[in-house]
Amino acid sequence: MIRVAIVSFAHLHSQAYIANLRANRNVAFVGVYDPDDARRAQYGGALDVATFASWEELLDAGIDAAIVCSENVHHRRDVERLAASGVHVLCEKPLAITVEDARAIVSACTDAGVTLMTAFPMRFSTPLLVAKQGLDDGTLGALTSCVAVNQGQLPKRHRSWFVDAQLAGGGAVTDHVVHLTDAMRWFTGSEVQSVYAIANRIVHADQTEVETGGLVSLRFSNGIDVSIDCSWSRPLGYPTWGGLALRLITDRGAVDVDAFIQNSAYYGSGEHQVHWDYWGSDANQAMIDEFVAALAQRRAPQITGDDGLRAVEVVAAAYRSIASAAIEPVHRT
Amino acid sequence: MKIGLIGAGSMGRIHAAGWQTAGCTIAAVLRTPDRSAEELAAHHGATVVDDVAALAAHSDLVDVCSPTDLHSAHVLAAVDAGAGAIFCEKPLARELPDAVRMVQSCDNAGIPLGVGHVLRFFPEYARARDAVERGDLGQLGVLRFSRRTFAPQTPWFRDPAKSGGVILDLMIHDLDFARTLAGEVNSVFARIDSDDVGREHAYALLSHTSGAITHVEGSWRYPQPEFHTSFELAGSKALLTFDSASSSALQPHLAPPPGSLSNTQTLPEVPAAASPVADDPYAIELAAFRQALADGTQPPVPGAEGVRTLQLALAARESALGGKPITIEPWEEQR
Repeated sequence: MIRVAIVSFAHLHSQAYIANLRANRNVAFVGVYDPDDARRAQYGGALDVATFASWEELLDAGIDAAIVCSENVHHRRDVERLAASGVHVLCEKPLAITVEDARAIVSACTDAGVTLMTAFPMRFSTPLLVAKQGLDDGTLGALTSCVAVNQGQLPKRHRSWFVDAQLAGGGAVTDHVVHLTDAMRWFTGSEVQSVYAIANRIVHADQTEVETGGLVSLRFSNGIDVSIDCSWSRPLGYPTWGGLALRLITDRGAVDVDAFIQNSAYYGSGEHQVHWDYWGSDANQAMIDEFVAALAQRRAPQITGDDGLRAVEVVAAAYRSIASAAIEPVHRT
Repeated sequence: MKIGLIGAGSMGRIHAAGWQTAGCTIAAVLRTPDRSAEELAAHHGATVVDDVAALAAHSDLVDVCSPTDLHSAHVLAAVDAGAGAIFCEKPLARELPDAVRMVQSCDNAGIPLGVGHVLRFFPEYARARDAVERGDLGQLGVLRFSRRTFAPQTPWFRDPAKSGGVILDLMIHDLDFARTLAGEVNSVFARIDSDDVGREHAYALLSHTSGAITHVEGSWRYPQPEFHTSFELAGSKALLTFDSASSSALQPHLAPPPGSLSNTQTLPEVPAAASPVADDPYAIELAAFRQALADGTQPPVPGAEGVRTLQLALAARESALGGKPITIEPWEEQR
């Protein structure tokens, strides 16, 4: 059995990961560390999990691995502490809010000899896996470009720190560019060479100081262009949280891939009240299972810290482009 | 009102039907190198004429539906011939100086000039514009437009020197509409993905002076006869979305006819949107121009609008070919 804990209730996904860890038969779920008294009380009780108020209590409980779900700005601090204690890490995305922090996270884990995986669940999304297979075996044709979207509601709805520049590191660009960047690195087997990006703060402008709208164009080193809409452009009345979809242009035509379209519509008794009930496969479960399997088999996970670092480098280039209004090269560190 | 038609291809035929619906008569059609002018004229009981002067003499209004690179020559000839009014298909011209000269010539001669940005008359787009103008969406933040179909089979479309490729011919519809909703664009960044037979897929990122940002996608990489359109407008108050795939009111799923092995159908040469609505958007567009002429008011889509949208489309193409963002200097009409 692998003893796994979660560091912080800050990220919404901590709740889903608790269920995912409990569903994995090779995992002994230890509990959640969170130094925030209010959060510990609120979620610890509601989710019926053991909680730890101090770092010492957490380590004393005896853990092999941890999932870091703290605010983005704290990823580096928390991963460095875990690595120093010999604990393997699955870190929520984005790996860090600066390239420097992401590099430090990767180095800390390498130096300590612990496993580091970045939480990019889209690599485990069944629709994306099927698309990847079709690109690899040629049945979908050869990829030549891509138009992609990863839009959402204002994440403040669930946790206020997501829209706080100090804690999140940025807005929609920080939050939503990394998933599709990683997915397209995976699909193309290529690295992002340069980035052009534009952003604004009009939708939800009264609720945050960070950018809520963003359009990004990636040029991969194999010549493929990818556009990404990372906007928090879904209002509260939208029938689900948002979505992630890619239109793959190939030499045979086009392929629409939607990771979150497998919904049934649910109509309530309120006027114009509709909700989409997702019935697709759970990518988070597959991601957690891969992390646990990699540890059990003493091998590298399918997604590494370097993958997280590459995505952070792209986000940094996007922000430079927004400031300069020019194409910016991606600096590999 | 009597119409003189230049161009008897797919758009000429659509316009001829639209004029008829709008209560006008196709009086004359300019001779074409092939038999299309004769066939269209015969269908409408019109005369085939050999030059633009004769066309103008036979009509109250000259409608230019020729290939894009011929628009300026045909419009300028119609001005010289003293046409009563001129309607020109989009894009207004292949090159910006030509478009400017067309507008100035019409202005100098006092000839009303209308441009065929027909998307503004499609009900899903017209209603969206109404919603924006009423303020239902609040301030526009992030807009997306997409138009995806097959490459037209008529050869000149596939020659960028003549048509301007997918950006000038197809994406221009949505570039024009983005301008009408979110205002002028001060910079554009675009990418083109062209296959080995020149069929293009393109996307463009627009920065509007209003602060809004827009993503526009245009594709000629789809199989015949597919045609998909969509948009979404995210504002400070609401989100409005449209997708042709989920609002298609009539979708045949038919077995092959008896005695036939395959479900053969006649495929169109040139893509055309085909949502069944009672009033043909082209007929609405042409009737609106005719009404403006009757009222002595500004055409619904005047020549200057055609210039500004062409300027944006050309900047997008320049960006895609040059690999860098292009800043757009606002074009001011000289009066």
